[in-house]
Parts: sequence; structure tokens; C-alpha cells
Amino acid sequence: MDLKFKDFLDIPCGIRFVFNNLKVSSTYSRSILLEEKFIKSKEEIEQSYLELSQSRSLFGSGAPLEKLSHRLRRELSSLKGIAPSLHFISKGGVADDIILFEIKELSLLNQKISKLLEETNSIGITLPNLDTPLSLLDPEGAAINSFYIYDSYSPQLKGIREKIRECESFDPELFRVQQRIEEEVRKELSEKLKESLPLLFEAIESLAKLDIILAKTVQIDELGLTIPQIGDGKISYKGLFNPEVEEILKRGGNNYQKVDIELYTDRPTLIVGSNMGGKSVTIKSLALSQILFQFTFGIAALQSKITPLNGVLHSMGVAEDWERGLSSFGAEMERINNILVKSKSSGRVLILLDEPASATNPIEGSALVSSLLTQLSNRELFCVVTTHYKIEGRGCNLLRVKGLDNGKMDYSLLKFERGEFPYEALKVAEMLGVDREWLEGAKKELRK
Amino acid sequence: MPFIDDIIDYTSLSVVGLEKNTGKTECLNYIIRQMSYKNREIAITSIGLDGEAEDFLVGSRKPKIRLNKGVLFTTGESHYRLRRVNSEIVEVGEEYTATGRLVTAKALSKGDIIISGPTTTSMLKRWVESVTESHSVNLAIVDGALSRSSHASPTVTQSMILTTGAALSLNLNEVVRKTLFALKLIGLAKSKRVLSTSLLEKERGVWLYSTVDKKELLLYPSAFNLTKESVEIEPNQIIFVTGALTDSLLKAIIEDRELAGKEIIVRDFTKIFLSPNIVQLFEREGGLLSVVESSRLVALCVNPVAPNGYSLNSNDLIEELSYSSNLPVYDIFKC
Repeated sequence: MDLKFKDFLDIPCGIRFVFNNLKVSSTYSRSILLEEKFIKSKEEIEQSYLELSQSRSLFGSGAPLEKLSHRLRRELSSLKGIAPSLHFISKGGVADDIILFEIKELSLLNQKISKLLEETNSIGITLPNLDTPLSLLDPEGAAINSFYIYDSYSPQLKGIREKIRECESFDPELFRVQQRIEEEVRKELSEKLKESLPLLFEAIESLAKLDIILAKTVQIDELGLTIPQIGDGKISYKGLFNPEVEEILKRGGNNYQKVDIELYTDRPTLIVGSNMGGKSVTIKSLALSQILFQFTFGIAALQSKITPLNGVLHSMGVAEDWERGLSSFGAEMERINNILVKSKSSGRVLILLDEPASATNPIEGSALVSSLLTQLSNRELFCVVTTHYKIEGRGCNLLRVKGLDNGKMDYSLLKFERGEFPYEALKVAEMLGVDREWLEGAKKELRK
Repeated sequence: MPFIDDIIDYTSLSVVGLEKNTGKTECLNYIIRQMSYKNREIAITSIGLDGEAEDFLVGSRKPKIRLNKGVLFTTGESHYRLRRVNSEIVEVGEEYTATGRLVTAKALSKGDIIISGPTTTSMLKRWVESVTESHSVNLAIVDGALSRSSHASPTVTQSMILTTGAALSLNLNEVVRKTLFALKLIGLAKSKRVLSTSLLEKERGVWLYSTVDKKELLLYPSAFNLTKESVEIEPNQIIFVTGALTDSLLKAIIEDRELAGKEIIVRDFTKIFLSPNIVQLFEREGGLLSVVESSRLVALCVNPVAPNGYSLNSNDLIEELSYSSNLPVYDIFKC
């Protein structure tokens, strides 16, 4: 089954933050985005990013048409999903005034946006010509967002309405005659509109697409995102970050330290290092940017080269499965086992495991992680594992958090050789100001 | 014309019936008629369901909302389809109500309509804003349903008209007594105390607030959970009720020696659900009840005829009410 954007929103990596922050103008476009499929094809991703780049160079902050972008977004806020009404007509239904109003509103919006876009036709979005439905629903050419069965549709209608207007009180008989004539007009209009249905569907789709691209363009500037390079077998980031964490830090008056990281298909990446050294944030940021990439959003990094994959499999954070009565360890083992099984048939995927087996004793835990890394080595996939266990990591891309430097945490990731394992838990605890006697006792234990 | 000149100064108005069959719809129709004569653009909607030919609850005949040419109205999709008026759609909303999306249209002829409008106060606020700003009407009128007076909150509509009458009781004194009590709550004065923004933004709980040191202390978690928190009670504190002020809440305050006599502030009269005797008791103990936003009651309209056909003397009723309330009182059926 193809995964959709909405299926990724609950992954605890900051994707919901990015989605909530995306200023899509119409609620309809937002619903379309939620239903978008995870794109696996390199060509499709390339094409979408080409459109986003073009949109950015035209409408982005400081770009020549930035003001036009505001205008377009304001107009697009009235876009509605009228597909059910169009389907109703296609099945032979007679449209009522509400449906006819909706179609007229869409046609007018399409016309307005087409005119605004005349200045630029290079963002890969072409809107259909809806002159035919518009001329049907706006017989007087007033181009006003309103609709009723106009007098001009039928000579009889004009006459009966004059009589109605002259009546002092409501005349049910005259009203019935009028309703009959109006219904005939509606039948005729619905029949004639059938021809234009494909164009109307195309208009809704294209307008929603434009709305989403413009929102993504604005978001690139607001969150400091960038357009990635499309890799073919490579994932690398310079200045990778997580916008949600960055905002939390900003609120507390702190700066975010962005990290550089490169992943390889033939060997898993093992990240070790201090507690509070940003390992989990890195894992989350990798998940976030891969998802953003496959739905062609701006990427949360200063520079990136990303390869289209078939999926993102992850185990992040210790979650207990209360409903099924599994302990945190049990739930995690089951989750990772599923990932292992799935990865065998999923082709090239990104596997992200944050501190696997950390809920059990270090001896068996280390053995589980080591063996897991062996299982995931020499496979055509990308894999990142973080751990506190002292693991050899033979055949792995070994990275460690630079760690405490003069009492300040340096979150950079450094390559390291097997055997150099960092011990910083006590230093971090000391920095946090925990009980001195407790720490001294722990140090004594270590010396033993 | 009775009270029409008084509502012309406002951009929004709510019409509230103390009971069903107090002539609310007649009153509404009167306003529509008069505003048309004065060439004022108006928009009308309802926060419940109004304009049905039969009263759902009582089964008696009800007057329909009569529209004149040019009146803008907002109703649910399914009721729009049942309209008996020629009209031009100008907007179809996106939010769904029990009667479908809300359709806003302009009447092109005389006719009548069942009106079912926004279902929440926030939707209603947006409606008032939209018709007065985007559609440039002079007056946005909101008609309410039985026991739902939230639309009359001064945060939604600037002014209001109250309808009362024989539907409340067949005893004139009883009608006057019940009406005066409602008027007393509607007419509660704005508190002289300045409350902090953070206090006003609170969504839950009953709070003690000191206007001296601006300290906010939670007194009760909610009007339904009257477990008193252990807080320091000082003389210069007031009690701020974020939600509904009910009999049981007021009783708890009266019975608490430390709290008795304190000023109680509610957001506006629509949040008060009290019976007369408890209010009397509260006042006897020296308590003061006030609001953050006061309401502007423009007029009181009476319907002397009860749903069963029995009629009170219209002149007596008007005289009694205007004497005791100091408000303009009209029998809408005579206007």
C-alpha cells in the first residue's frame, strides 16, 4: 500500500510542526496535501523540486514577484473542493443553485489566477481555460461571485418574475410556475456543463497544486530551509537541523548547533557520545529531512544531497505498548524485528534506530546491538543507529558527538576509530549539578 | 417608529426571547420591514433553527421569517433548498452544520425562509464580521432559539432586544417579575475593577484576583467541581468566574464566610444561570455581581397572547414593565 503524507505526521521527528507551520491558503489544498503519496521516483522528485526552485526564484523573499505571491495566496484562500458536486453532475444529476454557484466561483477564481499568472508562466502550472462554463453561469458577463437562475436564461422567466414582484403577498401558484421553469434551466445547464467537467477537475487540481507550491516557497524562507540536490546512492547533509527543536531553543534564548553528516549504503552509521549530546535530535532530523524530501518540501539543512528511497523505518524513543501488555523492552524488540523483516523486502530504505535495546542490561544489550549492526551491514540500505553501549562497530561508519568542551556541549559529529569510546555521563551529570556525594561514589565504583 | 431609530447606531443586534412564543419572530419581521423602508442594508441569521411553520416543541403555528428584496440572509443548505423567495447566492461556507454548509444569499423578491445559522459563538462572530465587512451591510441581526442566549453576548452583537409575554405565565405579575429578573441580569453594570489580560484569557476555573498586587489564585477548578483550593484570602480580592455562574457555585460562595461579600465578576450576562432567590440572598449578604462586558438593551417587546390563545391586557403589561424597568416597551403586534 502506498503511504500518504498523513501517515507520516505522527512520527515524532518534527514533521507535524513543519506541516502546522505550512501556510497553505485553502483548507481544500491542505486536505489534498495530506493525501499526497510518498514519491519514490527520482524523476518525479526532480520535476517537483524544479518547480519549487522556479517558484522560489520568482516568488520567494526578495524575488521579483514576491508581492504577486501574496495576492495569489489571498485569492487561493477561496478555493474549495467541489469534486463531489462535479461527480454528481457527471452521473446525470441536476445541479441546484448551490452547485452552480460553486462552479461559477471556481471558474472565476481560475480566470483571476490565470490573469495574475500571465506575468509568469514558468512554474510548471498551467490552468485550463474555463470560458465555456463561465459563459454558461455568467450569461450577463458581470464576473461577480454570485449566482441565481438569471432572467436571461428564459424569456418566460422574466415575465413570471415581473408578476411575482408586482404581487403584494406571496403567491404560491406563481412561485410554483417559476420553480418549474427554473428547474428546466438547471437541467439544461447541468447537461451543458458535462462537457466542461474534465477542465473543471483539472482546475481544482492545478489551483491546489499552486497553493501548495506557494506555501512551500514561503516556508523555505520562514524556516531557513533549502532545495536539495538529488543524489543517486548518497545521503549527505551540511548543517542539518530540526526546525521544531530550533524554535524551542530560540524561545529559551539559545542557539541551535547544526551538524554535518554523511550516510552510506554499504555500512550502517553508528553514533555514540554523551548524554544530551544531540544524538536523538540528529536521528529525528534525518527522518524529518528524508520525509520532507519525498514530499518535496524545502529541506532543513544548509546543503543536502538526498537519494529517493522506498521508505523510512524507525524506532525512536522508548514506548511501552500498554494495550498489548508489552514492556518497553518487549515492544521495542517487536518493533525492531518488524523493521528487520520489512527491510528485506522493501529495497532501499532508511532505517533509524535510536538507542536500541537500551532498556535491558548492558551485556546482553550490547550483544543485541552488535548483532543488529552485522545484520544491517552489506545491505543496499541506509541505516543509522545511536547507542551508549561500548560496541566495536566493525564495518560501521563510526561517528561520535564531540561532547563537552570547557563545560559547553559541542554537538558536532566526528569520525572516530574503533576502540576510542567516549565516557562522559558523569561529566554531564556534574554539569547538571547532581549530588556531589553520589557522583564521587560513582567515580570510586569506576576505579574499582 | 418604535426603537428603530435606536438600533440604527449599531452594526449588530440580537433578538432574544425569554420564552418561545413571546413574539420574537414578529419582532424580527418588524425590524426587517422598517429597515427596508429606511433603505438600510441588513443581514439576518439565527443561532438555532427558526422560521419553521410549526413549533417543534409546542406544536403551535409560528410566523415565518419574512424577507424583503435586498435582505441578505444566511441559512443551512437544506433550508436554502426549501426557500420560498427568489434569491441570489453570494457565498457558500466551508464549515458544516446539522443543516449542511451555510449559504448566504440576497433576497431578490419578497418571500419567506427557514433560517438555521451558525451553531457556535465563534462561527457567529465570524458571520457578523463577514456580513458587515465583506458584504457591507448596515446591520447584522441574529435571531436566537429557546434557551440559547450566547448570541446575545456583547462580544458577538453590540445591541439586543428582549421579547417577553404571556407565554411566561398567564399571571401578569408573574410575567413582570420574571421579566424584571431577566432585565436585572442583562443590565448588570460593568465592573469598576481592571482585570489583567492573563486573567481574562483563562478558559477554566473560578479565580481570586487582587487588583492591588495582580495576583491570580485558583479558587475552584470549575463551576462543577467546587472543591475549594487552599488559597490565601485577602480583603481586596474579587472573584472572577471564567465560565457559567450557577446556583450551586453562588451558594458555595455565599456559604463560605471568607468569600461572602466579595464582588463576583462574570464575562457577560449570557454566562449567568441563577435563580432569583439565590441572587437576592447574595445581595442581602452584601455581595456585588458585575460583568466584564455590559449589554446594550435597546427595547423590550411584549406579546400579551399566550400560545393557548389566552391574552393579558397589553396596555397593563406595557405600563407595568415600563414603569418598573425604565425601558421603552412595545407590543410588537400593534406596531
